[in-house]
Amino acid sequence: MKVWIKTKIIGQGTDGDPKRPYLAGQRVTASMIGIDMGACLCRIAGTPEQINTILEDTEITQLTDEEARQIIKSKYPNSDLENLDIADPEINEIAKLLGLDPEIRGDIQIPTRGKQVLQDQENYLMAHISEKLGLTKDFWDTEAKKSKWEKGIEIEHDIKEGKIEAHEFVLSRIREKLKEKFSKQSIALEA
Amino acid sequence: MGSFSTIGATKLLFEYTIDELARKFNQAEPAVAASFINQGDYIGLVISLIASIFDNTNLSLTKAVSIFDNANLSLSRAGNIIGNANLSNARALDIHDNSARTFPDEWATIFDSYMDAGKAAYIVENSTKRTVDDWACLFDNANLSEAKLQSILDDTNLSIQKGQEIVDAMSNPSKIGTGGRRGYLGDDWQDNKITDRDDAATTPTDLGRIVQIFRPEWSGGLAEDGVFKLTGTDEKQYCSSNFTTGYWYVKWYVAGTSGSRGMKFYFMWVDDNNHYFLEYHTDSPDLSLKKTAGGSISTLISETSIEPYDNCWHDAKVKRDDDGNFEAWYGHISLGTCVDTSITSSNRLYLGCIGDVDTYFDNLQVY
Repeated sequence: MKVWIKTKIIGQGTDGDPKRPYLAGQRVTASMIGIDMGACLCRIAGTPEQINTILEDTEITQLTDEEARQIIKSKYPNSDLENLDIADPEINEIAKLLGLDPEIRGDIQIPTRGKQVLQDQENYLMAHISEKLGLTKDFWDTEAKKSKWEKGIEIEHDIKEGKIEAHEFVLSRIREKLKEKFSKQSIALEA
Repeated sequence: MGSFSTIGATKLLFEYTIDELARKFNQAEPAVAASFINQGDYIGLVISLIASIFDNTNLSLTKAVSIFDNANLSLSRAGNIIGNANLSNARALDIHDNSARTFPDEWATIFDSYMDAGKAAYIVENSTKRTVDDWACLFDNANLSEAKLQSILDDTNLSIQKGQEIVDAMSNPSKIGTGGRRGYLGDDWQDNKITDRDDAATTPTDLGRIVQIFRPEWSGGLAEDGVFKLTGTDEKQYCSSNFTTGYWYVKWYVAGTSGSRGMKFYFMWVDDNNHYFLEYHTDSPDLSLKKTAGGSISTLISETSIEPYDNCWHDAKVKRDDDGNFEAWYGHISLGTCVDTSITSSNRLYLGCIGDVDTYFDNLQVY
């Protein structure tokens, strides 16, 4: 799970205590840019439980893609959402649960959209996960229409552009399908 | 006068097979044949046809070369013939190796304007006539454009080994640029030295890339068994490097099984207080992209999911563009991206260890 947050910077700036984002004591992956004295914009990734704990902290503010973009653009006009991103470990864990090797994301080394590889790699891994769960192109086209998109491919484009909204849209449906799959298995086992 | 001039009197040109034309050319005076060829399309001797004739075994190599070299055949016509797809790479190589056309000037023009990169690369790789220094002169020659030189170096008909030997001997290796199979700087430590380094001709390269600066001079450390080794506590050593965009790649291995251990790869270093670096710890374990700006250290990308494999090789790379956009990889996996413009220049590149255990590095590349 990924979210944008604005948080304070902690640390003395030394080797053993570098400046870094305050993350409510959670050990999650993060990518940050300093935005003003003592504060930073971060994209963080972790389990839903970790992220929820972080978002409950009153010193941390969750931001939307658009709010994050405005901050990035104000400081770095030639950069965009894709330029502040972090690999999502949750996708790796889901892949492992389904018997997929998360390292297959490394098959992608050239971005098909934008200039960064990360989003393409994650989209690729999520596509494999979707396939494994039986979430077809028709499924994504239907889901897209229920929301702001017209077709599934548009969600993919937004993922590749670094939009958390699209990333989480796909991941939430993967989580639901995963829950359904494993609850059926457990019912079958009980029976 | 040779029999070539009688072609028109007995048979129209297009009525001859390539075999027959090759025989005719083989019997012709080189100067006459060259004159005919030079008239080109006007008399029906289109380039593709001439190239087929030159490729035909009925035309001896000696005669082909004497026609090719004849002053009646313009450089552009000669270049178009040898560069044509109907003339095989092997035949082009033979003609090149026996030709007396001016080297490097005329050949640089032929390579640049008339020959595709694959054929040129084939000739450079397989020529028994030219030395590495000869090719370095041709690569430096102004008649060979940067773009064409770069496409030759990127072509797999030219081995990385031969390409590196030539680039080592060039006066202006920066002409090779970067991209494709080319890079700024690389070290494989195969010469087991840190100063007074061997070139690729002396000790073959182990890199998968041809670089402008091959085996740079290092401030210290050890080179043994084809790898770079740091043994001191928190030791770091440098080579000169002023590159600020592109990719920085390195492999490393941290010995030992306990205690705080790791490595630091300072890929852009201005001074002690200003630099970017990748930092790996075995005990967390993690790989982070950090900066030191004005003496203060910040974590730009933190990664906590690196497996804590001891006693094995790891590899990572980082990319930076002109706008300060970074992307960091562990192996083939992208860890994250960030943007920072605190530091925009570089003097050195450092390899460093954390703790007091032996730390090894290999296959350093900036590209």
